[in-house]
Amino acid sequence: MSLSSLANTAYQKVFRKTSSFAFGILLGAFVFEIGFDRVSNYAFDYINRGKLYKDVKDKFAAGASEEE
Amino acid sequence: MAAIVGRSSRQALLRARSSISCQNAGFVTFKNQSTGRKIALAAAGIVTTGGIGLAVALNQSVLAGELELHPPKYPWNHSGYLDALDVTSVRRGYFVYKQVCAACHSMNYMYYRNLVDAFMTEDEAKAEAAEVQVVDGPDEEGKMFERPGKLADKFPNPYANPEAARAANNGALPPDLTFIVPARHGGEDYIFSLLTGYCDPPAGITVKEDVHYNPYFPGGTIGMAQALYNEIIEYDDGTPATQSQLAKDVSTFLRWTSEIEHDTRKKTAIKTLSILTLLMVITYYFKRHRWTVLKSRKLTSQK
Amino acid sequence: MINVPKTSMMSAVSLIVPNVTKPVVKSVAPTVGKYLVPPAKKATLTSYSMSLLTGKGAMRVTSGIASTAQIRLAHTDLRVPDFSDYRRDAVKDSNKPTSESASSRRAFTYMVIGAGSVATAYAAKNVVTMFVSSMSASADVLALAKIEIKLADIPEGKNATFKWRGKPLFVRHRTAEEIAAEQAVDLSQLRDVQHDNDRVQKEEWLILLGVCTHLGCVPIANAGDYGGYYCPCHGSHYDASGRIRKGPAPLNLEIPEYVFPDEDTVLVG
Repeated sequence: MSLSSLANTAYQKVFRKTSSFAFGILLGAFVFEIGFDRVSNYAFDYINRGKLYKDVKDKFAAGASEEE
Repeated sequence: MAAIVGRSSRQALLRARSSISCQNAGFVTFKNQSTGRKIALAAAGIVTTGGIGLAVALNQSVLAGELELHPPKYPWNHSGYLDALDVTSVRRGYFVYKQVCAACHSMNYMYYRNLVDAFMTEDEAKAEAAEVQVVDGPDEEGKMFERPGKLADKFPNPYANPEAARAANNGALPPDLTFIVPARHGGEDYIFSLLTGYCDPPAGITVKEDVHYNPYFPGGTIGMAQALYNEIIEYDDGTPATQSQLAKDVSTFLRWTSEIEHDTRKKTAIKTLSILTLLMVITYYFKRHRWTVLKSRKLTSQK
Repeated sequence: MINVPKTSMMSAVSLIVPNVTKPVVKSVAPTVGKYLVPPAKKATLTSYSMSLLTGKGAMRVTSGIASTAQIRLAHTDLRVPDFSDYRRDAVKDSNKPTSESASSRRAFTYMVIGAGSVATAYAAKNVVTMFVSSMSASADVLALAKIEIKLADIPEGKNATFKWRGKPLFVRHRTAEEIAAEQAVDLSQLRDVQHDNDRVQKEEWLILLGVCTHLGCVPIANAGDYGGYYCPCHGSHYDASGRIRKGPAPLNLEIPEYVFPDEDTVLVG
């Protein structure tokens, strides 16, 4: 069974020693922060697409340049 | 009355019937009563409660002297838990504020730097700031001088002090608008309703000179005259400047000024709520994991 | 019925009785031997009622091959609750050894705990960042920390004064003669040795903090023996590069950090 062997490997390599477990958590937190922030920012931007400043910024800039 | 009920019921409870063993004497239960009796009791309860409620409701009569309209709930497109403010509307609202409201109302807690990247580029905000004259100083000779505004400057105040504002407005002080939306019941709904709600006073109400009738304003008469009319200003993005559009935009803008962190707050909500949900699930798993040993054992004790 | 060990050699258990310690609902008094077990329903509140429960008569202990060695209670009346809700699926089948799934179960729990720790670390980091960042300069301070100066407003030979971070800021548009004179100064004459090139980014623009390095007075521009600045408090003379030449001040006038974003402006701070 590949899943159980994978779990076994993970246990032997990472979880078993407290130091490696803690290191894994730190590393995971680092990666997780990047990914989670990206995903949640994307979710917010998707929910509010068309309403945020960055979505309509170009429209303002275009309008301003026309006036000039 | 409660005392009488309490006393009689207590007596009834204390009277132990000889046929039932002592253990059961302490409980009052509806379990043993017949279905018909249960229904009758429930119906009696509902009728009594409903009757009292109806009497109370009928007693609260509407008095003509206290006529005050409460604003309806409008479907603002930023009122959802995760909905950002509509930046184009905020931007239009800023121009409405600048050209209409700012003639009388101050906005003492807003700086021109707040506009940057909120709904304006830095250059636009600098140009907006440069339009106003700011008193600065003292200079080398100790005199105050006027200079064009900078990003670090506040919005200009139309009056030098509250007394001057009262004197110019028949004794009524135009409130500072920075935090007006959370400061009024109904928030944006109230602002919108107030701005669009001016009408002729109904029969029986006389409105004094220099004040105006507005059913949404507590008391009905407001010192502020109707400020927004169709086409009173022109939007640079071509949106038709109807009265309701102007009122909607300025209400959105005032929501933004009272909460410039609005969008950040809701973005943080997404992160916080999802992280806490994850942690809640994991905590529940861990609790079960730890408690399994205790929960899955049965202890019996011998006499 | 539970297994009762029986050997041909001796009967260790000769008597199997129902568990009398927890009678099943009915309070019929079972008779064991010649003793009457009183109905358990009666509350044992007094020493008398408790004494009814204890054995009466002399205690006798018999031991030997033929005698009864112990009494086993048949717990057929005890119902063990169903704990399968608390069991993992992998161990529900009692025919399979649980050691097979031990590592995967353990790894799963560790993984869940690890994920929880990662999420906690993320949350903790953000909370700490929030509190720490509240100690940094606020937006209104930062907005005043930089000053943008339009250079076209300052004619040649003039020294303009601005207020920057509560201090006077001198921006001096130097003439060609001043530049030439400052470039040619013999460095050995200076108290605080610094070449003019080290004090300006563009030769015609000298940007200084207008605070005398002696006791903090504001020097007067275009005055003093060296044509630069003169401090009226104690008579320190600075040249047109802001270097101390005469008087009590120990150091040259301070140069703030600045950049020229374009030809016509300077951004100090």
